[in-house]
Parts: sequence; C-alpha cells; structure tokens
Amino acid sequence: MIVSLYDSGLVRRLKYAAKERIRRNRRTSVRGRWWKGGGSGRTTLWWLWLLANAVRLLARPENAAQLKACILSATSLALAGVALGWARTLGEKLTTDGARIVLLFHPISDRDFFGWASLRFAARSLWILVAAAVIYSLTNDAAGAEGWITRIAAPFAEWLVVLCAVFALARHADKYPRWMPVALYITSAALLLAPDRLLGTVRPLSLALPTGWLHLFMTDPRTQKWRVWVVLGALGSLSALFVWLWSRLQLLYCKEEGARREQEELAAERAEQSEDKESSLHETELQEELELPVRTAALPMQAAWRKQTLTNWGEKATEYIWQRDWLRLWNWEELPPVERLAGWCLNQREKGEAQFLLGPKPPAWSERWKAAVISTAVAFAVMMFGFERIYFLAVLATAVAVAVGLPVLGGNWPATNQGRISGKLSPIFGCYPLSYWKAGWTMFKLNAVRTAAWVPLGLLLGALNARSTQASLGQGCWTSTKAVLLFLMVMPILLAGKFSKVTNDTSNLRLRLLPFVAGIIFMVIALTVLALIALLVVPGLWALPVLAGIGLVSWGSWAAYGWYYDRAQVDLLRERQ
Amino acid sequence: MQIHIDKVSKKFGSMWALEEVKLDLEPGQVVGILGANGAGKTTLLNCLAGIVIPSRGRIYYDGEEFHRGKMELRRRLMFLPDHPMAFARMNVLEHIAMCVRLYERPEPEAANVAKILDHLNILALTGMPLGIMSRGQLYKAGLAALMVIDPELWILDEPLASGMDPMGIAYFKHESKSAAARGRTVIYTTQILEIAEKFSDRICVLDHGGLRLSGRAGELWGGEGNGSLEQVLLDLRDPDGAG
Repeated sequence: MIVSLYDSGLVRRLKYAAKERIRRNRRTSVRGRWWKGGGSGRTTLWWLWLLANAVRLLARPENAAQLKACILSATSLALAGVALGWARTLGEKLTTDGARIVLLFHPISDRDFFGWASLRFAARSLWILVAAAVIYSLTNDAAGAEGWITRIAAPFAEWLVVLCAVFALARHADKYPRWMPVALYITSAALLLAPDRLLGTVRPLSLALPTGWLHLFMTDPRTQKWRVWVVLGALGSLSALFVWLWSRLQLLYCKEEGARREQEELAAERAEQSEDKESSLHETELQEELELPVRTAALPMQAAWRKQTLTNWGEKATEYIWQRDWLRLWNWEELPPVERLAGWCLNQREKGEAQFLLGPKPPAWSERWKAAVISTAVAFAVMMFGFERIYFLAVLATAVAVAVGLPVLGGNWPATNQGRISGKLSPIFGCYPLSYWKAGWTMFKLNAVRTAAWVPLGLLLGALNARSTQASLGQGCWTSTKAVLLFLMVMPILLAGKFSKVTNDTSNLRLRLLPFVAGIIFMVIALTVLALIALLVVPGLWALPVLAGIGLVSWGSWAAYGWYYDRAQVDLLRERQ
Repeated sequence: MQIHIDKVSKKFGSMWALEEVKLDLEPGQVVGILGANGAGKTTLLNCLAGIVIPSRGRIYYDGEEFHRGKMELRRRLMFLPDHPMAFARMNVLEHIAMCVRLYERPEPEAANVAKILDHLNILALTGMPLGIMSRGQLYKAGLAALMVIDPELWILDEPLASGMDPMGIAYFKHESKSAAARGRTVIYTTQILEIAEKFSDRICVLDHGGLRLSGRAGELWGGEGNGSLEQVLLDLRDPDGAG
C-alpha cells in the first residue's frame, strides 16, 4: 500500500539544492508565511466547544449528572453529524476530488490510490480520539484499573464507530440530504444551550444513533458491572468491523479496475484466437463483438444526447440569434410574487445589474419563502399545542424559517463567487465593469424586499415567542420588529463582505493600512454592542435611535470599504489555499 | 485610447512582480508582451484591467488616471484572462447579452453576432452551457463577447495558447489587425515568438518584473537580418552566453 506519494527526504534535498542555486545566482525567492499554514476551522470550533463545556461541568458540580448526560448526548449527535459529513467527503475524495483527477494521469492503480486516500483520511480523524479521551475522562466516574481501562479503550471505540460509519456510508452519501450533518450539529449545540428543556427529548435520539450506543452501555445501570468487558468487546468487534468495511469499500471501489482488466485480458485472448482464423468475415464479426462494449463505454448517454442536441442547435442557431430573444432581460413581471415585488423596486439599469449579480437563472425567492412559511407553521403548531417533548422541533423550524426566508449573511450572489485567473482566485465580477456603489445599492434593495416579504412570518414567530416567555403580544411583535430593523441596518456591512470575500484585503495587510483595518474592526465591535443594546437593554421606542446609530455605523463601514476597494490596496486576486 | 504606464510597480508579499514599468502606447497597435514565466506579464495585464492595484505608480488612459472605481474608463476596455470568467450555466449568447448590458452597449446586430460565432466555429454550440465547453471553446466564447463589445482596449492573456484551434487563432489575428486599423489597441501576452514577431506592431519584453525592451520586432535586435526574438530573449536572460 502507498502511504506517501513521494519521498519527503528527496523533496527536502531538492529544495535545498534549489535554494543554493537561487543564492548563487543572486535571485530572490518567495518565502511562505507561517500564519498561512491553514488549519481546520471545524476542528478548532470543536475544541472550543469542548473546552467551554468542560469548564461548565467543573463549575457546576451540583448538576454534574445531568451535564454529563448532556455532554455525552451532544457528543453523540455531533459525532453522528461528523460521520455523515465525512462519508460524503470520503466518497468525493475517492471519485471527484482534485487529487483523484490529478492522479488519474499518473501510473498509480486504483488499489494504491484507495489505500493512500483512505489512510490519509483515517489519520486526519485522529483528533476525534483525543476529543473522546477528554470527554470520557470528564464523564467517567469509575475508579481504579476499571476506570483507566474504560478511559483508554472507550475513546478508541468511539473513534472506530465514526470511522465505521464513514466507510459504510461513503457509497451512499447521495441518499441522505446534505443538511443532515448541519441539523445534527445544531441540535447538539441547542442541547448544550438548553439542557433542562431538551435533554429528555434529545437523549433518546442520541442514544438511538450508533455514535451513542457506547454511552448507552456505559451509563446504563444494568451494564455497570461488566462495563470494562462491554468496552473491550466493543473495541474488538469494531476493529473487526472496520477492517471488513475498509476491505469492502476497497473491493467496490476497485471493481471497475478489475472489470477493465478482465475485459482487456478477454480481448487479448480473443485477438490471439482470431489470428488463427483464416476467414476475414469471422474476424470482422469478432472485432465487432469485442469493440461494441468499449464503444458503448466511451460514449455514455449524456454525451450522445449532447451531440444530438448540438446538431439540432446548429440548424436553429442562426434563426435563434436573429430572433434576438437572448438579448432581453428577464421579464420580472412574469416571475413569482417575491421576485415580481423586487422587480418593481428596480429601474432598467438595476435590473441588468441584478441579473448579472444573480447569475444565469432567476432566483427562487418565492420558493424559499414558501419553505419559510411551512417551517413557521410547524413552529406555530409545536408551540401553540405545547408538545413539550418535541420542543426542539419548534426551535429548529424557527431557525429554518429564518435561514431560508431571509438573506442571511447578505444573501447568495453568484457573481461574487470565485473564478480563476492564472492559477489564482478572483471574483467573477472582477473582469467586468461593475460599480461597487451601484451594485451594492441594488443588492440592498433586493435584500430589503426579501426581508419585507418575511416580516409577517417574523411577527408570527415573535408572537409565539411572547407566548412561551409569558410576555405580552405587543412585546413579542416589537421584539420581532426590532430584529428585522436590526437585520436591515447591518445589511450594508454584510454586502461589503460580499465584495471582500475573494480579495486579498485581509491577507495583504501593510503597516500603513493598519489604522484603516483597526477602524473597520472598531466599527464591527461597535455594531455588535449597539445591536445587543437595541435588542436586550433599551426599552420601547428608545431602541429606534440605537438602531439608527447601527445603521449609521453600518453604512459608514460600507462607504469606507467602498473607498478602500476602489482606490487602495485591494486586489481582486487571492492565493488558492 | 492612449495608454501611459507611469513607473508601475507591484509587490506580492515579499516579491516584486513588477518594478517601475514605464510605457507609452499609441492607439491603433497590436502589442505583444513577452517574457519568461513569472516575468510579470499577467500582473501587468491585471493592473491595466483594474483587477490588481499597483503598489506604486499610476496608469493613465487618454490622460485620465485609471482606478477600479472609474466605470466609464472600465467600459472602454475588456480583459480576457487565460480562463475567461463566466457563469458555468450560461450559454454563449447569454454571456454576450450579459456583457452588452454591463458595458452599456446598444443591442448588437444579429448578423454580426452570427458572423463572429460562425467564424469562431461555435455557432452550433450556442445552446451549450459554458461550464461543459472545452478550454478552447470557452476562450472562443469569451473572445466572441469581446469582439461584439469591441472596446477601445483589448487585453488578452495568452490567446495563442488558449486551446483555440488554428482557425480560431487565425480569426483572432485577423480581427485584432482590423481592430487596430479602426484605432483600437490590442495588448496580449504570449510565449510563441514566431507569431508574436510577425503579428505584433510592437513588442515589449518583461524580465524579473522590469520592462527590458520595447519596440518593433526588427528594432529589438538592431535591425540586422539574422537576429531573432528567441536570441534576444536568451541574451536577456544570460548576456554572457554562459548557460
């Protein structure tokens, strides 16, 4: 099995030789920067989450039992999310990932690639082992040898559970929705935020997941006596299961290679036989028989369909060009209600800009609005009829109503996505004359329309929240109104972020730019503080001046970034990570 | 469009990609930028297009200082990078229509669009999403949009190594020459010296970020009959011929 694609000693020697030559020729070399080493954000978040809860556990010894159950359940949910997410990633790494594509052009067998990729994948998951060790150290009461055995063996077992799930699901990642891992993370986080309310409901779910079975056996009073044997037994069976799943996935992955080899061998065998035959007719027949499956493989359905379509297009293209329909803007009047409403707010130039910013197809805002309505209805039903056991569903439905109905983080603007220029990343709009100011205003107007369309749902959710917190209806609706106004007030700074996301503004800092960056950071902090004051502290209409202050800071930041973007040191280029 | 590049320098991290490049270009020329890999050719084009902002120095178009915020100037130029920026799900006609709107041009003549697409041999591909086109076809789609817009300044990165077929390259050369005759300026980078020598009205050679040579092809080797661009570039890199 290939463990490493290259000999790192050789690379080190070559690097040294290159540096020597550069020095001799008095040329300058580009040095890497230590702070650009990358790193996984999710892993960092995981550690922060774990640390925060460990502190909580140590600080509240009187509720230790409940918090331990809570941490174990949250861990089970989060690890299930990790397993589902990684199964998809592993599937991609073995089929469509960049490294896979590159290595297709090199003489490396599928079996070797599988070994290399899966081993790397497993090695990168080692942090789970460490995290599980910390969790089991905190939550395990057993003393003496039994305690130490479980503290050491249980993390390994937990790690193997995740790996087994990943390897079992890698071929089936397309059969479950992409949002499932995120939903599990959110539930895990919600459980930690409100353990009293959610533990009773969520714990059965967490224990039903394979990542929770170990907790179930370890915490169940009926299995207390033979806890060590349960853990050791689980470790043994999971190791055997992992080996079996690994080899099964390898077999499935390398099946195509095996089939190809078989076909090649068969073809070679038949070619030898055909040399002996004198009849040319028979040879032709055999050739056809041999070539037919190869031809079929080389021209899949999609390619055949595309060819047919192209032929048809070739005949109609000129006619289509002469009709000039392709030059027309979208007819906003014919789009669904939310989009139509947005169209009314834009002039002709802004419609053109919006069409560029939104990419090739009209947005599906009305569809998303409908999804938000359904989510709100679910939250409404759960909260009104007091289904305490599934209260977390109301929280989840509200989160979905907000995330789907509102342009959270400024909305999705395909023109601000990244493309490539000479191996570097650049926003798509970078190559076109798009004004920061005009485009930003168009984006703000469209987001304001989407927010306005969401307001009735927001008021409903506010009223429901008031009911659950024993506040008056007016207070609930006022809180919602403040939240919507706050959302609109912070929108400009979020839109500036859309222009900033594929630039080098944060990676190419110079000393003279530090005051400017410090100013932006100060504004963001001021915004956050003002937002908290407006929502939580200031009573009644006094929140309005605070909200106006937030708007002022936000628009000021947007304008300052615009100046910085137009004239200063922002390149619409970023190094690939 | 008159172009004045005034001591433009660009620093990436600790490395100077461009160092005090000074150049004046009159309208109506085809200008080839040559140089080794990493010499600063693409960075210079990025500066001219406003993608990259110079660390020092300025760029003037018709005497007016250029920066990214000046939309009226940006609409007078168009940049076609080595991998044209486009939405993968758009087709070539939608891409052209998008450019027409962004550059605030009047609706183009259908006959002209059909002619350009036909000459570039992508007329039959007008319904195909750009995302599934080959590199050469995608470059042709970008080039078609550029030709329809017909800006005063054409900026092209490696058009001759873009994967276009010989017919596409021939059409590009023909259209560039006629654009230059109409007073347009065409600036492109290349590594193919034989074509650059015959095709360019002016050649600029960059090396280690600095502009080393600039002039007509023959002028670069002193007008002697037996010189060549290849020799000029090799001499630049290794003046003693030590290897």
